[in-house]
Amino acid sequence: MLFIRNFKTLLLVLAAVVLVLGLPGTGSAAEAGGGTIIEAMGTEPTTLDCFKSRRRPEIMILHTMLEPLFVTGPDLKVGPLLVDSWKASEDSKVWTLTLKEGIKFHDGEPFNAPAVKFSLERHMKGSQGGKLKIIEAVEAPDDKTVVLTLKQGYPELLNVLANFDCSMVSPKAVEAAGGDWGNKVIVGTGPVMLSEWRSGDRIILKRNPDYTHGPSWLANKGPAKVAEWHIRFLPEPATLIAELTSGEVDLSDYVTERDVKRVESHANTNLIVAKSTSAIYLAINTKNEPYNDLKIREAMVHAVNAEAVRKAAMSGVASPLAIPIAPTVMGYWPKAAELAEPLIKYDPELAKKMLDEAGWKVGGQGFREKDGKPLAINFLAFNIARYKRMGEVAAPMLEAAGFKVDLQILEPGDLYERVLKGKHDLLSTGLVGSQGIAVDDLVLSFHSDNLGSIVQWCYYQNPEMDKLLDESRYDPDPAKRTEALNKAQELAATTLPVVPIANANEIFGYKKTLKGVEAYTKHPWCFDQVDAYRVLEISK
Amino acid sequence: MLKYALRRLLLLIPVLFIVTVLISSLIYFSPGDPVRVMLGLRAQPEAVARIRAELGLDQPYYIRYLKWLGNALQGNLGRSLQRNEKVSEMILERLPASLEMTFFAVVVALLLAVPIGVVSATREGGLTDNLLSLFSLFWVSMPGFWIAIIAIMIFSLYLGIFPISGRGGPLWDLEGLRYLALPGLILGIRQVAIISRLIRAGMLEILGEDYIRTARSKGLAERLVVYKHALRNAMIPTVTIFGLQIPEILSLSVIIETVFAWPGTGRLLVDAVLKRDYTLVQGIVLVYALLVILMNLAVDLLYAYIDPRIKHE
Repeated sequence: MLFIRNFKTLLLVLAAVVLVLGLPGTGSAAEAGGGTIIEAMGTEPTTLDCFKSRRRPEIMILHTMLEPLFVTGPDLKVGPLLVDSWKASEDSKVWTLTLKEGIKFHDGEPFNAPAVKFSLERHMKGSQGGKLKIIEAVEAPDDKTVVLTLKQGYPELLNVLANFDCSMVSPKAVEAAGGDWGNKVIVGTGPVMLSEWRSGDRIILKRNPDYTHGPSWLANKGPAKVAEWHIRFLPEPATLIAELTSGEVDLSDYVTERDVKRVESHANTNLIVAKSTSAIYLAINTKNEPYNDLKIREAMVHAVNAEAVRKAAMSGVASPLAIPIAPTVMGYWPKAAELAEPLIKYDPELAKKMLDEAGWKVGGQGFREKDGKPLAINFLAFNIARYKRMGEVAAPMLEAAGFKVDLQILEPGDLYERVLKGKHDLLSTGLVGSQGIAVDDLVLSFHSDNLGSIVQWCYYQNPEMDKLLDESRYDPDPAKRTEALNKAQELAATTLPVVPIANANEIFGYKKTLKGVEAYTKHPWCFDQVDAYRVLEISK
Repeated sequence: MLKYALRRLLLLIPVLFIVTVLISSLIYFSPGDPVRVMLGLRAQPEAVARIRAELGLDQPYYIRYLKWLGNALQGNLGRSLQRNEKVSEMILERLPASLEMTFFAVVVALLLAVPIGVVSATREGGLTDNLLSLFSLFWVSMPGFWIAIIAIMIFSLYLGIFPISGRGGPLWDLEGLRYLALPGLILGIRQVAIISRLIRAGMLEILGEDYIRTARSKGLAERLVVYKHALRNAMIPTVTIFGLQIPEILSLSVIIETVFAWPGTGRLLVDAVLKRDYTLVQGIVLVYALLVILMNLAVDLLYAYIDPRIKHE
């Protein structure tokens, strides 16, 4: 054991150590300047195998390496990406796609019809196979042609094929990688490729020099302007903001609402707040009594001041929400929001009156009762800052109206289990990171076919809704599809399966010296699609 | 000594077995499905069922545990449920970073705690003693998370002495040391507070002993009296407590690794728990248990060096 016998000597030695260590080093852990952009994420992906996972961290990275056959453009219309042309049979049951030529996977293998067949069939067996349930068979009669036969006519098939869940992967690479696929190996057609994954530290993506087929609306269709794109994992928000404002990190969309002012006002950074397709709400379990009664749900909605919740939970950096889908999604019907207005206005006195009329009277303990039963709400919230705060702010509002609220903040694993068992009455949550298509969002959340997945947290079962959503997808007449979709939105608005809170924003903090950030964030329609092509538009 | 060490090593086996049974049952019986967590909110029930079967999660707990145990005895800790990577490789990738930070924290703790404790004891009741006591009380009371954030603000952002986060390289590399300095210091500073107080208490007791009075009356220099005669005896209880602090260092390192984005096994363990990655949790806990037991054995063996009267039988 080393003893320093003289305390003053100890202090001198320590000062010398600090001086040496504090000298500017050769650079930060990452390569500084030039052809590298460093982006910060708040969490590390679990796996990069899209067969297994569709969480936000995975999507943000994978979308830069993998591409679907079609892509949603800034006008919310789906256009070709890897496809040259396509045609559908009259009943929209058989689709023939002609692929673009000259595109290669990152491993040099050609992108062709057998690869499309392999990818789609793989995805059909994967975690998000639900979207592809409509496909009966995939054939590749030659290298350029893919024929999709559907179980029934589906005029909006391109929306499905534009989804990230249908991204193309290299068959040879998947088979060769075995268990390493998704960790050490990811091979797609995207503008960047996986270089290295340093566990706990960062993922390094490098430019695909052969990429030239970027979507039509991009000024730069490839290759990417920077040689490397590093994605660092910074789980502590304070550390992430410190790295961003100090200039060690170039960009992040993990800036929370709470840090908006700080990043905006800092000399080194700019901030963009862009509308997203995220709908944030309190989901009501419509299966549980007494919340299967529309009048009780309406009373609950009137009791919650959504504006106050937005201010408290999102620092006011969010827009109002009227129905359970965001107003930015393709196919949104503004009239549905108008119809919802009288039902969702904050009116605590009306809430109390409605509960009184329904026979729920205030008892001796301060909360409402009926036939000896309390008007109890088992209120769950994710232990994520936004949802936690929503719960903490909304709970007293509900208590003021006479509900007996038991708020529990839970981590996802525990919460998912309780939601799947229907043990919640109210859930602080939201539909985040959707593709931006109204019918898809409604099907996910309110079609009875989706009961059993967590996102059907309202346990919504309404044959009329099912019928409308089926019509809006499968009717061969576009006008009838639109009409059905509008009616579905009206039904979602007027049956109040949720307490609407906010259309959340995407917040991008970035170094002032970066170029191209405004270009890529001008497309508010879909978080996923926006992130994919940041690697093409942003440079130093 | 050798027989004692071998006997302690043999005790590893039942201890590790009990640890793995406890941990695997705790995580198995905790609410939450690893496949649901992996697949996310939109996963279809059929996909969940299929992947559960592929991962063997539809089998009863005891069958899964016994399979894992059988493989572990052959050095195979299985594959991560989430990443499908070998658990041993995942741990080996992250363990050096954690060991570096722990080692640095221990060195900092000892380098600072010993002189602080000695000075406090030899200036008992004076201004120096009171200031150092306040110093210790402060670091023991403050939550590690808060200290870490404040340290980043002061030393990284305002003064620009240290990098904010991340790992710059191995410990023996100057750049690596720059990145390690602040998280290692924060991890070790709480131990400085605890150990210095122990040394102070031990020294105060020993400095009143007869043999110390004898040494002084023989004309020995005060430095020799304090460091050669008194400190060595004061170290025995300190070494005991230090051994017990090792698990605390490992658990606090999880928080420090999160704040400083340090790529160690602490963060890996927390992620694995939250994602219900059973095999990864079992593997990391097994390694941690092994480390704690071996470190405590090393501490026990150190007694014989400090006090030759102690013989391990």
